[in-house]
Amino acid sequence: MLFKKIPKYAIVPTLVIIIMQFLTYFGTQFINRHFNTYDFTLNSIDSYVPLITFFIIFYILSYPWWYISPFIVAKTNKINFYNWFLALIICFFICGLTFLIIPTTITRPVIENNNVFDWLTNFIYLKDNPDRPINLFPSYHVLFSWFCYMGVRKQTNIKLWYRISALIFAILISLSTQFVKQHYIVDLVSAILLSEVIYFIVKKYNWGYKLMSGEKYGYK
Amino acid sequence: MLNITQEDLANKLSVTRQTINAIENNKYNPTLELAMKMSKFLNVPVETLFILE
Repeated sequence: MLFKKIPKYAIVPTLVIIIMQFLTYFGTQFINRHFNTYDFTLNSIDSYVPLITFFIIFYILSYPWWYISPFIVAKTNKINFYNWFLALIICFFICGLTFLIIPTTITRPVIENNNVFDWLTNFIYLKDNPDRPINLFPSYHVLFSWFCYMGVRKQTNIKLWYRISALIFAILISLSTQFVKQHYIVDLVSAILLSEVIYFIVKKYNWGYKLMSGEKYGYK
Repeated sequence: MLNITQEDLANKLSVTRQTINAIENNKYNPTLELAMKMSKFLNVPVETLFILE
C-alpha cells in the first residue's frame, strides 16, 4: 500500500516547504503592498476562458495534496526526493523574487451565490486579498501541483494508478486556476515552464542529493 | 473635481489600480472595509459612492 509506512525523513523538508511557501506568498505581500501592479491579461485568450465555478473543488483539494505529496515523493528514493525538494525551494525563491519585481494582479468577476460552488469561489476570493489580488505570476497553485506530479513521474516504485491520477489531478488543478478566474494563462504556462526547467537542472547535476544527503558525490 | 488618478487613489487605499478601475466600471463590489476607506478618503457618505441595486 501507498501509505503503509510514512517516510519520516520527509517531515522536516515538508515543514521547510510550508514555511518557504508562506514566506514567499504572504511575506512578499507586506513588501509589495504599495508597489504598482501589472496586468498580464492576454485579451485574445483570457477573455475566452469561461467561468466554471465547479472547478473550485479541485482548487481547494490541492491544499491537502500539496502537503501529503512530499511523503509520497519520499517513498520513491532519497536521490529523487532531495532533488525534488531543492528544486521546489528554488522555485519558491524565484517566484518570491518575481512577486517583488513584477507583482501582477487580476480583475475578478462578480459572482452571485447560486450554488455551493459559487459560494466556495466567493469564499476563496474573500480570503485571498479581495481588494488587492496579487502574487499571480507565476501561479503557486500550478507550480506546486505540477511538482506533486513531477515527483512521481517515471518512478516505477509508485503504483501506476497513482502516477496517472497525479497527472490528471495536476492538470485539473491547473485548469481550475483558469476557470475560477484566479489566474491568467500566462501564470499557468510560466509556472509549468519554471518547474520543469528547475527540476531538470537540479536533477541533472544531482544538487539536491549532494547538498542534503551529506554524501559528497551522490550515487555516482 | 478631485485631481487624482486611479493610481494615486489605489496607492492611498493600498489596493491595485485595477481594483479602482473595476469598481468605477461596476465590475467589482469592494469589501466593506474598502468602501468605508474610500468614503473616508473622499470625505463623502458611503451612500453617495455606492447604491444598492
